Amino acid sequence: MDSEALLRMSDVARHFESGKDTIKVLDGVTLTLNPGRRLAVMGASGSGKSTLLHLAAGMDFPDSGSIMLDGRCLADLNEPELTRFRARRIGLVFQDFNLIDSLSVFDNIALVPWLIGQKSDRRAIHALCRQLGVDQLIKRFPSQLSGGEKQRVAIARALIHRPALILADEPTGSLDPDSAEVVLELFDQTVKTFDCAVLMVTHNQAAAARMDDTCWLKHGQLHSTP
Amino acid sequence: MDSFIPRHDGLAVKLLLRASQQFFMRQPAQLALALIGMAAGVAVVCGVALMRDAMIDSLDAASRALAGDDSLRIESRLGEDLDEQIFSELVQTAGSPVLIPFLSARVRSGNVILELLATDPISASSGQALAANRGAATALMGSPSSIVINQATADRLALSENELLSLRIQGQAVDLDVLAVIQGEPWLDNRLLMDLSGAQDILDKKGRLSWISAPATSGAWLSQQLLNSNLNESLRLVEAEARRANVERLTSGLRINLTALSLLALVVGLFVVHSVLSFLLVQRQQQIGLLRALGVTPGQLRAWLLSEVLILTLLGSLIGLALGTELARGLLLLIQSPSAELYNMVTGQQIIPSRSLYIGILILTLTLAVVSVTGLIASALKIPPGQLSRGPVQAASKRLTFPLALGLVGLGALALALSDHLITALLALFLWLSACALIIPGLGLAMIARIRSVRPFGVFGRALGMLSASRQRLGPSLAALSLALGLSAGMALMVDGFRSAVDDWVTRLLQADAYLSIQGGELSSAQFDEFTAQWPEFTAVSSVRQRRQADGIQLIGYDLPTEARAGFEFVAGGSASDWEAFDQGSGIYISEPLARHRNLALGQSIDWDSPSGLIERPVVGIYRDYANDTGQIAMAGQFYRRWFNDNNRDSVGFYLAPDAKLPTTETFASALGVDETRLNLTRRESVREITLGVFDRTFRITQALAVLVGMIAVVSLVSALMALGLERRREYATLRALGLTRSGLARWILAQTVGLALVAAVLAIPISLLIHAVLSLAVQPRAFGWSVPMEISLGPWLQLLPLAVIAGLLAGLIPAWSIGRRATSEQLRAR
Repeated sequence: MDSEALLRMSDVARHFESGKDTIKVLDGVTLTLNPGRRLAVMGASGSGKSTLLHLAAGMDFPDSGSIMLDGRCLADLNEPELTRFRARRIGLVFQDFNLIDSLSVFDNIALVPWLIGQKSDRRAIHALCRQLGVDQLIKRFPSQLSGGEKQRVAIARALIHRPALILADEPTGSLDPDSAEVVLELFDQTVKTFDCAVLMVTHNQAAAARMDDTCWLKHGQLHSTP
Repeated sequence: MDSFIPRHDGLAVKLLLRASQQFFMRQPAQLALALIGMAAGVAVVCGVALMRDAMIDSLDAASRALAGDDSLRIESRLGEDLDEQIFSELVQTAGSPVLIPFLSARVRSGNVILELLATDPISASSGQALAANRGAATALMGSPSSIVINQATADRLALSENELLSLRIQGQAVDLDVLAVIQGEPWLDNRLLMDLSGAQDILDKKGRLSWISAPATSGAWLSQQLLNSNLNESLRLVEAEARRANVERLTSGLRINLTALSLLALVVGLFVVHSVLSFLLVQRQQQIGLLRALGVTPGQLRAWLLSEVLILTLLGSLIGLALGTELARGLLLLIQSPSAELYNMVTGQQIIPSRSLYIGILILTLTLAVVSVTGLIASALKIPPGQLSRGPVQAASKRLTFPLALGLVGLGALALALSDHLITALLALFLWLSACALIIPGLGLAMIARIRSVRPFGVFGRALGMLSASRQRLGPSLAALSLALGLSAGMALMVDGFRSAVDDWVTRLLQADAYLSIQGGELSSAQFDEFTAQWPEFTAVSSVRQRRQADGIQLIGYDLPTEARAGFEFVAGGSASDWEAFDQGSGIYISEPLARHRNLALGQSIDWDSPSGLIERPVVGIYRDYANDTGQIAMAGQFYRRWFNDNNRDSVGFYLAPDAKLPTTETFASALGVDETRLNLTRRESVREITLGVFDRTFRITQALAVLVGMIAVVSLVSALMALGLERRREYATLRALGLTRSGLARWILAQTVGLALVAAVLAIPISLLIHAVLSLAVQPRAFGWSVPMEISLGPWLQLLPLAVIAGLLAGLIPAWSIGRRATSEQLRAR
């Protein structure tokens, strides 16, 4: 089954310099994620969960080890190839939402198809917004939304182009239980319908329990138990 | 609990200022922008003010230095030379004070205009001025063809001691030996100190003086002497204050104009500061809401923000004062040519910083800065406590914008209509520019939104679309940029339009085919009559004789054939009957500046001094003239000769017969019995070029100011757009994460910065037209007295657009490079 792996991280290490100290955030992480699978990564604050997601997305580069996505080694791609590859294959949900303040909700969601050269499907955007309960907010700007509303718009942006891999950093952190359930259900549907995979970082035990597997990031390495 | 709450406003404000310090340290671009805007505006005001003061001080500096600050001056009432005999008689009279004779003349060394200042070295070196250089001064006595200069002049002429200075005087090449180069003595800037008798020989003015200086205490004695000798009719005693006032009056048009332009530059600088502070206010809205929620009172908030403004303004102003002092040195160099050509005056080179001037500019700037941010502080006070994440309510202020702008326009129109004073014209301009500043943000952002809606624009439209939702951040910057670009282009339009008007005027004025004059001499009536009677090449000959009164007004005697009369462009009068009155001596013509300054209309009388007494005649024509902003009185030549007992001519104009050739200079020289090198024979086209050359040199300083204002605009544009780019780096990192390549991001950022710059440039066009209109139609007439038809040239506008593109490119490249080179994840983590 490894040959079908959508995401494979092999012995990946990443460290940061802080003054004279070297902080080993990831120290030999190996991870495999197949299409149609959902993996939750849990860990204490500062354990390197976001770093793991950034590496998987090709937004950061490991100091050692390799990362394969959809059969392509990310290190072999130059900057434009990597950027376009990420845009087409990955849906990103950031911890701080990172909506563009000066674009409306509709334009924030339509941004990704535009970046990958697709025409904006207005009906698809409206349908997705209806599912996430933000359809009435489509003309508003991020500064006019609550935290929960922003998070749902960010999720819509991540899903609109039907990515092969969804990388989500605390996607239900700002949501009430009902809204969180809607989001997780949407992830489930997307995985089943489009055979994509989900790698989700979360503190939420209930959300983690909905995933197929859960692992814990401790001392720079992934463990199958807390 | 109370112990955690600051008891005194001062302590709270101190803490808040510490927060400000941290904020600005993290926002160096915004801090730099505010300081640059303030410093640039203050530098221009300071530079022009110092230059202006140095110009006035240096014109009378020699007299004051050699004869004392309050010295008196004996001059000819008619602006002529004095007979040296007067000096001899006064000196030999019992009780005579120390009198110092002077002879002054403008001379040229290459392109440099200098003043040859000759005096009696012994009496001149008895005062304080040459105390340290008495030896050098008295050595002039034995060296009639030597000069003493100061180091500044020596540096300018690239000369040392014992070298020769080559001059052209009355067409002759003259070499003078540099006897000594002395240190200091700023009153000697651009002056050549020489022995009196040597100068009289070189200038062919044997027995003549320009004026005699006397100590201030000798006023009563001198007045009595002049009365006793019946010389009162031809001489007058002028006090130092009166001389200064005269110089100020002569140069007032030029100085007021430059001061007005410098104040406009300060206003633009203040607009830049205003735009930065409003930008910062938007960024700190949440912080202010939080502070209010925590207990900061409106009074403490007001004190905090005011303190910030005052500190920023003070810092920027101090930098500006230092820059302005350097700028003044450059401006003084630019003013030397127009001073000599327009006012026959030589200015110095050295700037003497003035503490009172610096303090005055500082107080003015601080006051204006506080006034300009009053509205901003009022907006800040309206931020409700606890406003942490939602946008502010803007509807009320938006509703007020248009009525407020209309009100300002109305007030400006009222000011212009109610008074003829220059100040009201400048006030009107300021009010109208303020109105523009209010409506520009809305207009500009509407333009940006319009571009967004045009689909074919693609990346350009989308990138600009992101800007159109940022009214609060961009509005004030857009206003400041458009105003700065508009002012620079408006000044350039005014200069171009004025040049075109001067070109038209001089082309019309020069009706003759060629003009002849003798350097340092004149043509006699007999010589003139010979031209009219005995030269078949000429169908007609005209002549001019003129003198300048002490108040700067020129009196001109014209002998004009019929074909020459078309050279006068009348704004009033000048009909056939008016010409009859002119020819008969029963009426005179005056120039437009004189009519405006003296508020004279057709039919009203004007008088002037002459050897035969006061002459008074009615005005029968007012003509356009750009040669003399003080004014001219034109009269028929025969009456000039009668009233002034002066039969000579300064120049003649020749009207060639069809197919006739203009005689050569040698032919004229032989006929006149004059050395050929002393003759100036100039064709009409050359006179035109010379005149336009004088104009170009005169307006070089205005063009320099326009360039400086343009530079303020470009620097503030680059800084504002850079700050915008850096402030949005998190958004740009998100775009990179979502799929925008590095080159795509660069195109995106550049689309925003270039697009914004182009919008500012387009909005600057109507602003430049407004400034051009006010400067040409209101300021010029009120400052100088002449009217300038408002002509429009495309040049300044065509320069605006590439300038904006270059500034936009510069402003976008740095953020694009800075953001593109760092890893996306690093950018996303940054706060």
